[in-house]
Amino acid sequence: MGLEDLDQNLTAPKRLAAMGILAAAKRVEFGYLREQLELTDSDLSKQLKVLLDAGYVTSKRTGKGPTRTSWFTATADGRRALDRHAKALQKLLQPAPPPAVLAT
Amino acid sequence: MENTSNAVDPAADLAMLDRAMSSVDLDQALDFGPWWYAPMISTMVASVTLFSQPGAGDWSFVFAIVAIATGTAVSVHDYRRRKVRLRPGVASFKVLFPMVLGAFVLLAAWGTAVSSIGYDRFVPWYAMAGWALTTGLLLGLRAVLGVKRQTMAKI
Repeated sequence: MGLEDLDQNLTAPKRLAAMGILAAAKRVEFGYLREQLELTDSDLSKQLKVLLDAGYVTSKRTGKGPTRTSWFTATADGRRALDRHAKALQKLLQPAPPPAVLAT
Repeated sequence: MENTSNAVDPAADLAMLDRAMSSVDLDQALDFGPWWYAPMISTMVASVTLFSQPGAGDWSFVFAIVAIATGTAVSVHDYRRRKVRLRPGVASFKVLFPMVLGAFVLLAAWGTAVSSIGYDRFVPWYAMAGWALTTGLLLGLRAVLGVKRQTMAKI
């Protein structure tokens, strides 16, 4: 297992953190994600669009006018992808096995 | 966010992921709703088990209705302002169960304390005081958790 096992949609730290937050809850409001990740609206929207396009996240809008709120939920695919990505990261931390000694 | 470059740093990424998930867990625990469910549920159980003296049945019923009504009213009021919704299933159970258990143990402690000083008959106000004290302690604990949340490292 190496760098190729990492999920390219989750290698960006902003998206990884967003996915971590979403995976730890049932659904999360846009404003909460923005506060936690300390991102601007546009930056967060850009990161979430990647996750939405990958099918890792779904969104839903509730309310009207000033009470309009966007909610995001991690999909089962997204949770699995995060799990695989975290395992790949853990593998990368493990020391490489010693090179095999060639028989002479 | 500390690691803002797109270069993969496994240790930093895993630490950040852990911080992100822990902060959401703590925010869910800080959610006001469960702090009312806990004393509510513990009260229902305790009123039936701890104070099952003659005449306790009617008061237990009234007591449970008051607790349920209070918990429900507060939860409905707070529901819309929550920015993070509890995970379903086992994950939310991990958050709620310790609260319910802790509240029940506290209420049992109040019941034992009352019995130990000679009040061996059911007195509704003692039970009500136990519920109020339990809720007060839980809110105190919630305040401590809130301070801890404020001092947590940024994601």
